[in-house]
Amino acid sequence: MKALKLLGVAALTSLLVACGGDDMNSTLGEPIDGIDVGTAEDFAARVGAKVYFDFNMYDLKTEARDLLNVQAEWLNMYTDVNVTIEGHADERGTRAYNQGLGSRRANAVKTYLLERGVNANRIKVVSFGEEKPEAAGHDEESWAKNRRSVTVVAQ
Amino acid sequence: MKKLFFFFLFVLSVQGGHAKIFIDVNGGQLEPVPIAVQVFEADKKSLGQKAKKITEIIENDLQNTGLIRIIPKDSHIANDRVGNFPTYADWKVCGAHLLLQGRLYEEDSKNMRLDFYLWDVGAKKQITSQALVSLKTNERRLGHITADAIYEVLTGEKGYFDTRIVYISETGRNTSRIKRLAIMDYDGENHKYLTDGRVLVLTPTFQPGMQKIAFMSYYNNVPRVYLFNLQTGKQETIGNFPGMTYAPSFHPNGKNIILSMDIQGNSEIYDVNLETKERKKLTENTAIDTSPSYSPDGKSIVFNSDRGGSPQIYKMNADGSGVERISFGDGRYFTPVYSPKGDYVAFTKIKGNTFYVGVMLPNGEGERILAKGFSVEGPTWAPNGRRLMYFKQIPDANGFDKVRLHSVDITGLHEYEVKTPQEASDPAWSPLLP
Repeated sequence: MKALKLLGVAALTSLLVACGGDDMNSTLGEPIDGIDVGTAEDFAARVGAKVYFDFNMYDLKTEARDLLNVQAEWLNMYTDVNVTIEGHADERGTRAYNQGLGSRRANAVKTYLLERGVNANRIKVVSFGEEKPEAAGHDEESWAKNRRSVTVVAQ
Repeated sequence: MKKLFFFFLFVLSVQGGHAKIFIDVNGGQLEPVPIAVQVFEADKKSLGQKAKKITEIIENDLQNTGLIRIIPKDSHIANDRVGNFPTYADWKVCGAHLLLQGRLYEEDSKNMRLDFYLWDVGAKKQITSQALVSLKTNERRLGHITADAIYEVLTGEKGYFDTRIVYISETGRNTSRIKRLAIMDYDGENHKYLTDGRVLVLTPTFQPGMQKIAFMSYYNNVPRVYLFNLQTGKQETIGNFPGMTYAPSFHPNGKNIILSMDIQGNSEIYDVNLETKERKKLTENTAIDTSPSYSPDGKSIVFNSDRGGSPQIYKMNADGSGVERISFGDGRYFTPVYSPKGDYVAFTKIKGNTFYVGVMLPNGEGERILAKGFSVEGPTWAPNGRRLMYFKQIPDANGFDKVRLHSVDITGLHEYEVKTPQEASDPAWSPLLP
């Protein structure tokens, strides 16, 4: 169901219904109760901001591409919204090297969104290196959460 | 007890043709040399407290080296007065190889003067006597300068006590750290915050002339290298760059800065002239090229690059030519820093999930690990090139990691934690103060 939800185009609505219909309200462009479409809340509730990477890598995995396809679709639907893509690294590098690595990841996401038709001047990138971990721990589970990009909708 | 002999002779002078090296800072000296230090005398009662304070500062400096051991005062037998020959036999009984004495004078209305005398107890000879002057308000510097003079006489190497450290002070949970630029004396005293923590700051470094600090700041969420002017307290940019700039360090001339600039996910190394803003691109490839460091003669640059697949240390000429990889050990190598003498390159290495700080020769040979741990990172050199500082992270199960500064000499034998008010990372050691 998750992948289908992310695909979320109008044409797939019937498919979602066929699958049980529990994700009916997730379709892009249709308002969820109490959330205005095209807002940061809408993006968070319906699309999802985070893409994860393998250790010391910045190529986009299948799950990442799936999510970015929906991000691009959402961005192409609300063309007055700008985003900042944050690039992050886990702690197993030095501060300087991880600045570069975070930038690679953020730019890989930006490049993908550009290929999906999003205008370049709507996307800023910023690398936070290893400075803003999502998980505070020091194990593979935490590191996997910290090797990420976050697409932040400008308020 | 012999009478006054050299009392006026050595005022404002340096005495002693000290060819003999008492302490070898390069070899593996395991046993610290025992020194007896008599609390310095004060020529005026009003200087008594300062004289005592200066004695303690010097003792702390010497003891920090790990090469010298201060003999406890309660085992002193003799109580000699400055101006007389020491009662050598008594000092020998309490185990002293060396004896330090001093007397503090009022030089004029503003300044004080310390005359100190260093004796070789075994050889029954004076090693040196010197007179040093400072403002009356500056007993810490007078202590450090005196300790530097003693260190130089004993080791044949310049001292490093009259120096400062700029670093990043950290508070809060791992996931929401507050980071502030902070500065202090090398021993943690005279601590001062330079930024208020509202903006994320990283990787400070001193300009050779000590007027400015270069550092990375996320001001307006745009990560860039800035200069902090220590005289005015003002921050300035180093010019308008199209991408993120990071990992700054200075050319030994103090006028140029070398750093990484990242454009669209590709980091290259640039040299920037701070006066003309002219910039030279020194690398050209798709790798992350970062953490550049000039050799003390300005002719060579060591840097970090993953152009070969994993992060390693490379060396190139100052114009970007002649690139060669120098790290070939087992692991990933980062943050190369040329020693101020040019004889070593310090580095961070990661193998498995363990971090190491070490030194190698500039050709990559002779690797020596000085510290290891869950995370040890970011070595910086004392100006004499015989000691380093780095930061060490201790994991915390509740997400409040401890991060502390540590200092270790190039033998790896003499290590201690540097006290800071909060957690501390990214240290940079200053040159000797001007």
